[in-house]
Amino acid sequence: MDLDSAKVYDRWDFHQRFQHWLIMLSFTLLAITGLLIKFAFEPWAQSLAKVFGSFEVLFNIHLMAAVIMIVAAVYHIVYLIIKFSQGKLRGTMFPRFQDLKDLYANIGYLTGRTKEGPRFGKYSYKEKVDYLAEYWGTPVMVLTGLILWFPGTANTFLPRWVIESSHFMHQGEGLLAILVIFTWHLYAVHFVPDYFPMNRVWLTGKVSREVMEHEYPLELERMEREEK
Amino acid sequence: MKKVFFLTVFLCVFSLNVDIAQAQQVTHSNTMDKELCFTCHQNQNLTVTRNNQKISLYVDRAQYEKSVHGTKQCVSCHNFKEPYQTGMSTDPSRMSEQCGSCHYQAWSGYRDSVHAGNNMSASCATCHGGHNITKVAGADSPANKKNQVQSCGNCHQKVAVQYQESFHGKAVALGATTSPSCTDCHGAHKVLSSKNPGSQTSEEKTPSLCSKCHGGAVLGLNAVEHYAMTPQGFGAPMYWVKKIFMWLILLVVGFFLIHILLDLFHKLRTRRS
Repeated sequence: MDLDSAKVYDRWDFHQRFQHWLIMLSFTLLAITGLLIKFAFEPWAQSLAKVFGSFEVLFNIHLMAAVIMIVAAVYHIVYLIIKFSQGKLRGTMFPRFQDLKDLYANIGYLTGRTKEGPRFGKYSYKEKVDYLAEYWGTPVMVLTGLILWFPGTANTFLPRWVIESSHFMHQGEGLLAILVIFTWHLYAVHFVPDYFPMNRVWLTGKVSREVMEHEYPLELERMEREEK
Repeated sequence: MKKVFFLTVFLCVFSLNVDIAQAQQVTHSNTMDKELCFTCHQNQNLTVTRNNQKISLYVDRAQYEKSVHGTKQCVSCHNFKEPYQTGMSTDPSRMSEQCGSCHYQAWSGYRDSVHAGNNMSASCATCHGGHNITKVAGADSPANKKNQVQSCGNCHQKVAVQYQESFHGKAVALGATTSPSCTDCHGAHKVLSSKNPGSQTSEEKTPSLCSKCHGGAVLGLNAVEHYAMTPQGFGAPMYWVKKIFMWLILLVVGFFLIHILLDLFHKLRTRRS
């Protein structure tokens, strides 16, 4: 029993953690520089922008971070393709109808209507939402970002209003992503009482038996079935 | 001369609210020294009543001396053609000629501009300031890259607001030197209407104007730099994109916040029990 409770379970391999590092770094840089540009007329933004020395430096950091984010996205796609070719891609992140049922059941549990909450597999709907946000947001941001980065090239095959709209898509989607990360994601991995001050899985890639039992019971059952 | 000087000193020192009507004995001339001018004009209460309007004749000496013209004599701009009447005052036509006597190039460009043609709707001081003129490149100049948006926007309010929505506008607000502000496209002194074929912003010339920064000429072919964010017209797609994202953000983040609060209250409740 003691041995069992001290046991740790693999959750993320090195590539997954490395992708998270790349996204975390680029997202933070993009969010800071992007917000300063979006709120350029606010006094706080103008004084914070001075920290970068000049607007040109600030903007080049934004572009470099964008390149890192694109690299991370391509890295992830390549990773998925390799996993798929090895037959190891289980599609645990894929949204299913079960997620909606889980959401309904969990809200019932959280509001005290039911005694038992839903039991999750490797990824609960809460994490799938994060992933969905990331991989819905990244294409939108990369596409509109590239249009704005190379407006002359974009204008050879896109009408003017698409280029102009890209400004507002880029700002809107960017703000949405930032707000989601800073509320939903940071709550789920930092401020939730279970993990406070931090869920260390992004560093170690491993989770304890206690967390497995509590958060991912179906995945734990599957792992134990496989071991037998 | 001495008599005049003592009279002015007397008036400045002994009356708190000096109206020029009382001081009409003071004869202004084109040989007056700056010091003599300031004996009266540094009095903050010095006024003149014209057309029933009180006009201040006070000049902030410290500010003037910091200006680019700070070492010049007052009379080098204020050219007295008749007693009591200043050479420049707020008469734009006389002002532009007066400035033009030194700044010839700026003036000759301005002479052909829409500003000059449109009844001198904007003259030198409208954009550059008066006694407080500083170098255009300086941080305080109303005509520098960043501040000119405000200065031009005093009259061209709609366009200034539309410009500020653009990336160019935001970059300039954060101190960009490589992003265009008003004068970069429209010119500084020789501002011409975009309907004028000679204008940089005319339909024919915009491609070459935009290509200065953006390479190839394609971008300038259908350049629309200032547009209204309205549900109809050119700005409509942008208007709706902005609206849709605002609602998307409200709904998504609102749902997430409610979920977070439910989760947090549940955890705190069950932890206590």
